[in-house]
Amino acid sequence: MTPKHSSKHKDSRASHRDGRHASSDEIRQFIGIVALVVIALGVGALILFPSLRPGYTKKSEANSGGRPKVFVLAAASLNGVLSEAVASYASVDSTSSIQLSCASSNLLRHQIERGAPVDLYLSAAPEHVDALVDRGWVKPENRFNLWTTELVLVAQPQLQAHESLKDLLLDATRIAIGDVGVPVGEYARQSLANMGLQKELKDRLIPMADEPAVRAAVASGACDLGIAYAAAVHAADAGKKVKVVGTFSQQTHARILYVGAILNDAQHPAGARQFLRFLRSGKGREIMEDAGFEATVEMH
Amino acid sequence: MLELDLDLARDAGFQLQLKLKTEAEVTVLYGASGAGKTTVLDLISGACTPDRGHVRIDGVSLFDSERGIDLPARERRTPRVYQEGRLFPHMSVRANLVYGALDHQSLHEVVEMLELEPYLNRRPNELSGGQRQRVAVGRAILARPRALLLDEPLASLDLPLRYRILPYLRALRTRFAVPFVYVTHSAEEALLLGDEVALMEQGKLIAHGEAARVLSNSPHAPKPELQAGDSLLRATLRAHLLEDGMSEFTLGALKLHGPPLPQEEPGESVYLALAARDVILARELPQGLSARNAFAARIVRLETLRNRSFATLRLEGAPEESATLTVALTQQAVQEMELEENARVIAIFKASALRPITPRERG
Amino acid sequence: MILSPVEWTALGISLKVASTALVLMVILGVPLAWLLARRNFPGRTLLEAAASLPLVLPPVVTGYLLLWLLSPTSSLGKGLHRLLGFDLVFTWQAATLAAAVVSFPLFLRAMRSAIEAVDTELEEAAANLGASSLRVFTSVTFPLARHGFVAGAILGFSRALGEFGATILVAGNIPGRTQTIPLAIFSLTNTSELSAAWPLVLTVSILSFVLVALADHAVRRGR
Repeated sequence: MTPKHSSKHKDSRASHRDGRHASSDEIRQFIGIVALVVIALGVGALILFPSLRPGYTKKSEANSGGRPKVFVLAAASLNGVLSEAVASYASVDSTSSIQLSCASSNLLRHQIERGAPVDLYLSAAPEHVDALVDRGWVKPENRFNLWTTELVLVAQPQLQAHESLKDLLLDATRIAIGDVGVPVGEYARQSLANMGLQKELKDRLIPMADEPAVRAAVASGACDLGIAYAAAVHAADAGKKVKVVGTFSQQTHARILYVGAILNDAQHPAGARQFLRFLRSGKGREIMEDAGFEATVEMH
Repeated sequence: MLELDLDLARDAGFQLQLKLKTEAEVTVLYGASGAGKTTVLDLISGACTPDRGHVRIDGVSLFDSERGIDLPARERRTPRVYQEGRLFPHMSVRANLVYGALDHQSLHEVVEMLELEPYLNRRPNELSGGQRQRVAVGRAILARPRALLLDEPLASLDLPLRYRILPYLRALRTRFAVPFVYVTHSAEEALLLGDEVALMEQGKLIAHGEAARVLSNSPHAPKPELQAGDSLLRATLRAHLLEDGMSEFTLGALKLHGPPLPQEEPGESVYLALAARDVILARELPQGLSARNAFAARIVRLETLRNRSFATLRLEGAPEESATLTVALTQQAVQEMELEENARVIAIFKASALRPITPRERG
Repeated sequence: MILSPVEWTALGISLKVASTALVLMVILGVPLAWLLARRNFPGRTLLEAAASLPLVLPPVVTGYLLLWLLSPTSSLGKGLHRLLGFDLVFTWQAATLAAAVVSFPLFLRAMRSAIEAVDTELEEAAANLGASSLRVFTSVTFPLARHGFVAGAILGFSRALGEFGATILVAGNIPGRTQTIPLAIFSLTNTSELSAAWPLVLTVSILSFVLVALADHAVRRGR
């Protein structure tokens, strides 16, 4: 009787234990799953972060394309004309290639301050570059005045406009304007304020992310009028999508000044300098002037 | 007055053809599964459309292919009681009951008749199967039916429960003059409830008439020769006792003495019918009894119908499907013996009272 | 104050846009969900795909399509101008439309699943008892699908609250009019230090978290 009783007792204890702890099968399953997850994460990390791969050196990445890539952040209004310049530059100088990214100057400046790896920064307003100089991102000698242009009022090509600038603005339902912080918007707001129109037009101003967006809004008909750069309008397909119907007096806004800067942290300062030189002389300068971007006399 | 003329051809060669005219209170559609009984209900209620024919209740046409009448289901006023109840789970019993009702006039009466008072505020999932079916029946009755369609409503209930619910149905039938069309494959239900039985097989009407006659005289009926109120026992022949003019049978744990069946072999299964009036009840086993059968039983139900009392007994020791005996009693006997539900009694009957039911060859 | 006046305004616009979008979603979504769940009809697959499209389309694409449709130069845009008296672009109504279109599939799916889960036998029983199709829906189908409705509404509302890509294209980023919280956060990152956006980021994160938890709870209760 006793052996039977004790084996029964043992069985019940074992089953009691089984109820509370995982069986060896389940433990093996769990370990397998964990291992799978770790491996998957590892593979993912290696894919995402080449620097983790064995045999990686910084040089290997920089020279992966063969030629050093000069990273240029430029104001959105320069998009069209710079693309042309970059293409022309490639045929002239094959030692470096230009990687161009365009957006509103304020957005770009914040990207730089948050650590974007930039060689050359081309802003549509001096204050952004000046702020970078003040905060030690750019040496003063690497700051260059580049171009100027005019602030204009644009409308769809079919608009028959014979009224004054002021009347056109007052008659409009929606006016595309650069958003807060965007240079083309800041210049526009200065003009409207100095013309005494900012209160009246306040509810009709539609903020746009950057200067090309202003022109696009007018071209698509979403807005009746827009306040943009003369040079950008001219450069963009010779005014087929929008036409200039008025020019804001230079006295109503700060001088529109494109300023360039070579970053202290630039990986390819020489390449940046060379490209800048291209834009200021020879073929590059021709392209910019044809587009309507007047070179400033002084560089600093 | 129910008038049916139905023609329906379905896929896989199934064809339904039914012509029926009846004034009966309860018409039972009886037959094996697949005979088309539920389809007939579908055609009456509008879930299905016949290829041609008509459906008329009390002169009102619900469907008439010649006159282009085809009332949608919700306008026919032919509510159904389903086998699985189909009560609305998110509503109380009371809300379920009045769902199809125009007013609450009859609610109180139906609740009383079905004894649903204590459950009115409960949800269906709190009720037992039998209670749910009572609610289902109540809900259908309160929906002002032209006809009540019952589709094997008791099939999912166990046997004792079925016998508990049948009286409710009978009472409702009597109180509300609404024709019932009752589908079942149970002979007991057909007998105990039906005024007329329509026997169906493979989509055709084989026989139609008074319940007991159809079930006993039809060559196709599986259990013929039954009278209303008979109990049916399925026993196994154990031995012949021919010199005593008897045979011995086993019924579960019980040993039965019945009529001689010389042509059957021991081990054979036999159906034995026992009339309700042939059973005697005693409080205790009498000494020296001439009857050869005396068994302990418990009274499952006691009811009075047409000035007679009927007791439904459950034989102790008999198998599930053959444990129910119906006994006819006088009201005087019930009072004297102080018989009541759950009382333990002895059921006594002679060997010769058992009548063998031999299924005839199918023609 | 936890939030600046501009930020409170953005919150207010977000809530207004999301609530109105929810109402639109429900009005269209409940009947459509029932139709897709219970009825077969020619063109049904097409309708299903179209209704689910905004779920997989990048929101900017949806915004682009809406802009193209509603632009004052399009024939539809001109017609709407005549009907409404104003252009729909760059208004809070456009923001509402963008949010509603993008969030609609979320609500529709949840509602449709819930309706499909309702036993048709119960609906048949109700019809047998004399209920019209509408009554069957309101008294049987919808009450039993209620949890799906709640979950879908909460999900749709949350998604509408966070809508960015479509909104900025068709409604613009106009403070006080169409600048919802996501748009406000975006503007702040363009013009200020990163940390300036924290109050709004936290506000919308907490709000979204609470909403998702509620939606999950509703789904669980439905089971």
